[in-house]
Amino acid sequence: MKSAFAKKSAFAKRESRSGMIFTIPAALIMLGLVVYPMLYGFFISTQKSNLIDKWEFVGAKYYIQLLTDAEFFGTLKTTAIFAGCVVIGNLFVGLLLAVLVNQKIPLMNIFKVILMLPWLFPEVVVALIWKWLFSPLFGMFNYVLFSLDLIDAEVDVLGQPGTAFAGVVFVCIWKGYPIVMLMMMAGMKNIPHERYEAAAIDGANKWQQFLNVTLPGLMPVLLVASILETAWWFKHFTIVWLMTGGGPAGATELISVDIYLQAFTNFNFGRAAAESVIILFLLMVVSFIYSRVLRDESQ
Amino acid sequence: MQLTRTRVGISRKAIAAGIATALLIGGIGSISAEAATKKPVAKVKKKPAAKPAAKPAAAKELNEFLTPTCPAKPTTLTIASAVILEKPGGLADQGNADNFMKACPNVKVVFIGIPSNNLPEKLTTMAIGGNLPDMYMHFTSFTGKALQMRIFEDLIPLLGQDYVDGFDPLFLGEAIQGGKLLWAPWVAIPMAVAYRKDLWEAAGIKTFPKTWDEFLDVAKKLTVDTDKDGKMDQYGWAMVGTPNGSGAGRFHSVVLNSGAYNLKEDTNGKFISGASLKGYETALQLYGDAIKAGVVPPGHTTTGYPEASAQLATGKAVMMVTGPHTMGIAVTQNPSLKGKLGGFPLPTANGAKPITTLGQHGYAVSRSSKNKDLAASYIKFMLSTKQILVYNELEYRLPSRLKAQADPQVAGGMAAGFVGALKGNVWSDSTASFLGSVSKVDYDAYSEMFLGKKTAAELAKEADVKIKKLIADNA
Repeated sequence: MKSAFAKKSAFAKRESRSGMIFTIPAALIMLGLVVYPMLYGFFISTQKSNLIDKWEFVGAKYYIQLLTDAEFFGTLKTTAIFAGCVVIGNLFVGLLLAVLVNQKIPLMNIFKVILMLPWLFPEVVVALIWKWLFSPLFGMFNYVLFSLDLIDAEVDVLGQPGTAFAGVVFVCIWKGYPIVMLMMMAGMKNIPHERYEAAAIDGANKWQQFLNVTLPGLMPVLLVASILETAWWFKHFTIVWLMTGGGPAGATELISVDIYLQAFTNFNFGRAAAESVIILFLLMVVSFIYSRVLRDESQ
Repeated sequence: MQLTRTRVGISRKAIAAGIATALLIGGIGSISAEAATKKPVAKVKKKPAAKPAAKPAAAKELNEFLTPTCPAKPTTLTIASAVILEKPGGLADQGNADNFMKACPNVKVVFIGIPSNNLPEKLTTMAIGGNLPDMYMHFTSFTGKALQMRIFEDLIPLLGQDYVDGFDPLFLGEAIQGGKLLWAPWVAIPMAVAYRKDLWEAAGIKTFPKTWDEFLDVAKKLTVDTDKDGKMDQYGWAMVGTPNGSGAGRFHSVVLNSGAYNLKEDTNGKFISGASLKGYETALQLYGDAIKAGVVPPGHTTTGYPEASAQLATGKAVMMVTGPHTMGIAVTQNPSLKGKLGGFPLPTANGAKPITTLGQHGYAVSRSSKNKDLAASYIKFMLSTKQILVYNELEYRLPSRLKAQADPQVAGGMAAGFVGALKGNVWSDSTASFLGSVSKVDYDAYSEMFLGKKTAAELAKEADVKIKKLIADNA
């Protein structure tokens, strides 16, 4: 008996060792590609450096600068509102379209493909297309408004803080909803049909079925989509930079734009890295809150 | 021999062949060894009253440039360029490379095209990554960052002092820092006002505005509803209002000519802000007044340099604060404009002598390059009189070499007004590594002015506080 136990123990040890050995390559890759850049970013945030041959340790100087800088908090606020609007917009439009394309209607596959198109365009192309569409002189947007006699002077969408912000949010939703729609469609496929039948027998109409069957069934997908979307749009750069450059008058200046400007315009890599580290922690906190809230709801 | 516009427009190969022929059968101007060098510039300096006359071409020099010392082994020369992406200027850049490769069959010239507004960022990234090309296009706005990164190779030993003396001292004033020639100047685009002569004459305007008030009045006269449909279709001023370097550079020229500046070093080398000076507020007020008066085409906040150039080319706008290169771009877009464009010096707040900026660019050799001698040969080749005149012919940019400047093609024709602008004072930007952030303060200020929620005085005060903070943060 003792011998059998000893044999089993040796086998378990060997198996455990094998497991560790098999895990090492993946762990090393993770360390190299994920952990090292994060640690290096943190290291840079403590340096005044040109990143080539000048390194001067400044400790927490840039963190103190940032945490006592009202402009930084203003940019954070703008970013939070932007990310919030885009995530809510994406979830709403994505869910709505997912429900629609989930209906049994002829030629729906063609609509699915068309609805996925914005996701396939590169962000640079999307930004430039919409910038031209919004152009007061040559853009289709003004042309249509003029044609319908809705305006009597050109509307400079990207030239006014309010409309510029709404404009970039709209374009980001246009670009971002397809992936949410795709996730929702996949999530809907996993909801057992029996639940709908049971709800129908209980007298639930379509809206009640959606509220009481579809939405709870989609909670795990919503959780993942919310976390991914928030992280994605909170650090979004391309579309906003190309459409407005952070303007007008800083109305669309997001944290990613500020980090870019700090690094490449102000040549202050330390401060830019410090901003990045702060954003990393903020997003980790947001992800944690999301997972707790949505997990509780789904349970 | 000068290449005609028609020939240039045929194809890239045609122009390359033309340049090669020109080099082989024509004479290349000599580089004047007598040209006076100049000390690094003060912030605002006067153009020397008279330049030393360039000597006639020396056959020995000609041969040196035509037959560069070629490497024995196949070598690739990598060049980061913004001009290569531009039309029509890219033809000149590619023509230089094609001809050089003919002269040195063992050499392969490879361009890395980077848009000019992204050049500083891209070069910074390349420098940090340790993969700078052998040569890169240098704009003066990048000087501060490049000095911080120590990526320059001193070109005086590579090119030779005699050769260096053949550059216009104004160009050298910016290119020589600490006794080292950090880049080989190629061309400059002195800031002035480009205008449509045909539309100007149609409006019956006879004289150039000397003050900003006069400029605004002229702009109002030029803003008309030409087809009488109740909508303005021609505007006075193609203003670059985008929040980027193109917009900020033009705004700063207006600031300079209003009696202020954004940033400079004082006599002790200490950075000081000039946004508290009245001129900064005056410039902001001018921008605000121009928008209010409706003399700028709609969409000014998103009108970048390409859009404003298109407005000039299509007659949507008549005047533009810019360099002579805009005329080349406008003529490319609208060939009928040949001879119908001109330039005049920037107006000032009180009619004083105008200030312009050189806006020069050239090529630097990377300190990390393994082909420094070859890069120096290439620079001499591309800066030969004939090659540089091809670029001037295409885009009216002012050549850096004294001999080329003496050519009637440069000082005459549509570019005359821009060359004339250099007879005033010339401003050299600060070499602060945070100059880009100072430009951002400028464009934030005029962007807010467009909104009309704050006065010019308030915005100038805010700009001053921000610039002073930048100085303190980067001390």
